[in-house]
Amino acid sequence: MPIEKIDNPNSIIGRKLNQLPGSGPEKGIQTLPGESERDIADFAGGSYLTTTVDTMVNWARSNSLWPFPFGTACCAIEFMSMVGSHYDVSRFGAEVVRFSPRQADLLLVEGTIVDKMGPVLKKIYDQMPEPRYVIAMGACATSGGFYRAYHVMQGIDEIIPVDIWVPGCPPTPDGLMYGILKLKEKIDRGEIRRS
Amino acid sequence: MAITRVAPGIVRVERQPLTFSQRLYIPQILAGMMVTLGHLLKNLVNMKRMLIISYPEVKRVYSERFRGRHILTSREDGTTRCVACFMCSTACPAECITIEAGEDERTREKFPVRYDIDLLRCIFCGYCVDACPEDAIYMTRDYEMAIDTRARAVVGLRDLVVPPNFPVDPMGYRPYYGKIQKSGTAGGTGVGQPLRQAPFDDDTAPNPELYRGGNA
Amino acid sequence: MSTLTRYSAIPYTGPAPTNRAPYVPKNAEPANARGEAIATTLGNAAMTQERGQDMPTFLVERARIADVLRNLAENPDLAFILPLDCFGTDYPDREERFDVVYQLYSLKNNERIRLKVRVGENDTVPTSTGVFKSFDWFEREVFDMFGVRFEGHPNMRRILCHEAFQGHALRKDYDPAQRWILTEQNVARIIPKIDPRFATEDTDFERVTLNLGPSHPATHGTLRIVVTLDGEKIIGADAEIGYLHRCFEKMSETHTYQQVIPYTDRLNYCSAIINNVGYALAVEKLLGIEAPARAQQVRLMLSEFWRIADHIVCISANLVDIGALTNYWYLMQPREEIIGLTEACSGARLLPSYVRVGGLAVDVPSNFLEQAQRLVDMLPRYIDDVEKLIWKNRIFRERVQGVAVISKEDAINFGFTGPCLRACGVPYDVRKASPYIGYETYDWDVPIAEGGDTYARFLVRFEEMRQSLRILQQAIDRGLPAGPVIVDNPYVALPPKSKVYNEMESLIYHFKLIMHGIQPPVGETYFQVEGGNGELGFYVVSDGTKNPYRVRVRPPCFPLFEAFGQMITGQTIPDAIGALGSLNIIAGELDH
Ligand code: SF4
Ligand code: SF4
Ligand code: SF4
Repeated sequence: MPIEKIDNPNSIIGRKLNQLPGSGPEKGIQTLPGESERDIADFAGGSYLTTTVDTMVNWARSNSLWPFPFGTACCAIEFMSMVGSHYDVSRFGAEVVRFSPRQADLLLVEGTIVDKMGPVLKKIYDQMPEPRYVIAMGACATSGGFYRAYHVMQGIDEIIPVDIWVPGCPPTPDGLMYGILKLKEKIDRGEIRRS
Repeated sequence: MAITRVAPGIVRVERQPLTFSQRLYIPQILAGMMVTLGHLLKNLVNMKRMLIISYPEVKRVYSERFRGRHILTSREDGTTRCVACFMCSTACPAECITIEAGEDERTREKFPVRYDIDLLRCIFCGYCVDACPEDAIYMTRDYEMAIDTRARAVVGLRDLVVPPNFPVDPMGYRPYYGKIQKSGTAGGTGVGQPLRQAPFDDDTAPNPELYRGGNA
Repeated sequence: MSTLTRYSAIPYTGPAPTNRAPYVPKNAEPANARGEAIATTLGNAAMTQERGQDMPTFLVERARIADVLRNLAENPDLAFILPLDCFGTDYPDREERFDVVYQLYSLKNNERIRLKVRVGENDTVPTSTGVFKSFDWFEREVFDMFGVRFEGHPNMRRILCHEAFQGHALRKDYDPAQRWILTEQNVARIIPKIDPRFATEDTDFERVTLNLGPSHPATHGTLRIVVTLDGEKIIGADAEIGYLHRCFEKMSETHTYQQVIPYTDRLNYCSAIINNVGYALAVEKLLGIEAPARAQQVRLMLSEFWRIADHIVCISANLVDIGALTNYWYLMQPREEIIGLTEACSGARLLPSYVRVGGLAVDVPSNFLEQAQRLVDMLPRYIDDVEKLIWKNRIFRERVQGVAVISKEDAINFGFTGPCLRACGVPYDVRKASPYIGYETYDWDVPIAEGGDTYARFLVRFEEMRQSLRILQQAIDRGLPAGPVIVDNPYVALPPKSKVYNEMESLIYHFKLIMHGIQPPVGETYFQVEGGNGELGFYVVSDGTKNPYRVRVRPPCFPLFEAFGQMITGQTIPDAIGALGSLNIIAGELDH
């Protein structure tokens, strides 16, 4: 696919067209283990020629993720950018931001979870209905980041299982969207963790 | 907003009571709707000017300083530039770089036997790039790093080392203090040396100290 | 090839820092003289002056501290009525190992004062909550972090750490990584009790206690408020904080001066660069150096851009809270462009870590001014749109007018600074009161508003964005001064990379700086900047080693949120939500 540069007179942000996620010149290096080449259609939710009910169900699940943003810190501000006008996450059917864990199926943990917050997070996870997925966003949620400190949880996998880990501090909105796409792909493959 | 000057350098923003027509509520609602309608029309007429970046079809081009995933550069002969001097791991506030140094038998030069960056710990501050005296560690514009196990987030030499003449296009944050004219390496030699055997193999387990496992 | 010929000395000719030399502030003499004058005015025998500090500093007898604070506040000539900060420092080698430090500000004379009390491990300090309401939480924090008890304090319990926590984290003998796990059984113990100050007796309906947060959409992250309701009316409220206590101060003590900069980013993450600037200026003050003019102007411009971005986040989130969702999308657009500019300069979007002690990490891109000009042209359009949508809208007006009023006296007594104080009609802005990085050379005004309610805070924030744009336009018109962006001092800043690669001497400096860090002279200093929410101060103590001995951040949100309980008493829940947004509480800074 040819790469096209787009110029928008209203914005100082550069854009380019037609690039696969996980490809492009910045991916000229070896990809991270576990990454494979895929078509854009797979990512954008375009493949809906389903054969079995299971696939159908998985497709439905993966295209209507209702996130519960458990935002505590700086990463939550980047999440605000992602639902903001530039990145508009509703294109993936994930715009129905639910602030009630009972109605959500994707727990997005954005930001540092400190020990005082841990039981709260656990409780919210327990309240979510199955199937539920967890994305840990940012260094803090995934591992504690550079806070090797007396009051910071060293990664939320101490208390709840995590499906996708998004490195970055904070991850860019596109990096987080890539994480959501990876989760969609994981659901499409039928890998659902039941816990 | 009405502004009154109360003293040099100080202005007061006046509270304005609503006029009668504004209190009627409906006209103002309509006026507000006009604003939104204006935006809608503007966007409809000129879709190209819409600010949305439809990732993944359209991607944002980050600047040449973008601090994304790291790479380790190579000399012309294919050896890694890194001399395992531990400067980057000392400067790293997150202590997420683990290096084990080895020594080349022939040239008596140090090189990394293991170079692990825990991407989940890393805060992408670029201090390692600033600290490297060997031009060995760069950052790329790669932000698509999401992974599905915690263990895989520890990237080693296998994922970091890039071949010589790696294109500049994907490069992000590099040492930027002025123009670089590199006439030699103060720390070690490089050009013209025999190729060094790659010191890593594929089944090395990630360093257990870097992650607490359980999820792999 | 001869190898030695290409090495040359780099041009630094200044002195090498002698380790453990005492810090001599530039204004030590005037501060000494002013301190003597204050002591004479007060005529108080309980104070001994500490000379050679950057502001008048006194050592006060432990038992008399509350009286001294009251005298300072009530003396009409001094009028130190704005409580800035109260914190501890630990010197384990001393017999009375803790210092409790109080910092006050006088709006009348535009000056600061620092008081210190020495406390042993088993001593108590009389509480000063009777003088300054603000010190209620500050004293709890000192107790939490150091274990210093305050006698007569109405609510002496932990504030930041959880209840299962053992020990006191900022003591020097506390292991920074020692965690204590809070189990769900323990959680039951951290139900906050309604502060007796706020509870009133008579109720018309059944009393209901309602818990908001810490994970509640309207509390923006990690704030928790427990309100007692009488019907719909709030008759008592207590806030519980610490749900984002990330140990900034302890982490600073375990990292070098340059490594603290990414941590400062994460205090007020809505305007990260202002935190960078404040911290860097504090350390530069301690080092007695000044960043080059080019760096200062870039710092100023980015600070102003991020002040706008900070206000944008506050305003748009607040409008979402009161039901005006469209504004969120309109305001997030220019903010994303500001992020784009920052990313082009520093390489990161939100938390740039762009400033270094001594200057900037890298020079700005060559088209920086053009892009800044485009942004300055672009921003008013979006602000206008939002103003059109809200100002004359009756629903909006009725949601904000007369809501969560705080009087001028209360605001000062609670230690308010920034837009919330200016919304009460007090024109205090650090950029005007004690200008730094060249704010005095720009023509701009401090906006104030009357009323102290949510509406007034909106008015001030909108006008501040316009004033910031004025400053930015002038800065763009002036152009950036030519020259380096970081000081040419190899004991502070890394030498240029081209020299590191090619010259032995620079390489050695480079190694030394990375390994041994910056080693400022021994002493303490305080520097304040105007953050998005008010006075953001950094108090840095150096013991001559590469790690700061103590870094204290004066978080502007802390007193704001402290007063919140009082502000919403008598209001309804929806109003309280609107008011919370208008205070712009940033959890990262609140809990540091
Ligand atoms: S990962 Fe970084 S950006 Fe995200 S919450 Fe932690 S410190 Fe903030
Ligand atoms: S970017 Fe910062 S945190 Fe990441 S490896 Fe480099 S120095 Fe460490
Ligand atoms: S600082 Fe550079 S040369 Fe030294 S260990 Fe790190 S990458 Fe290698």
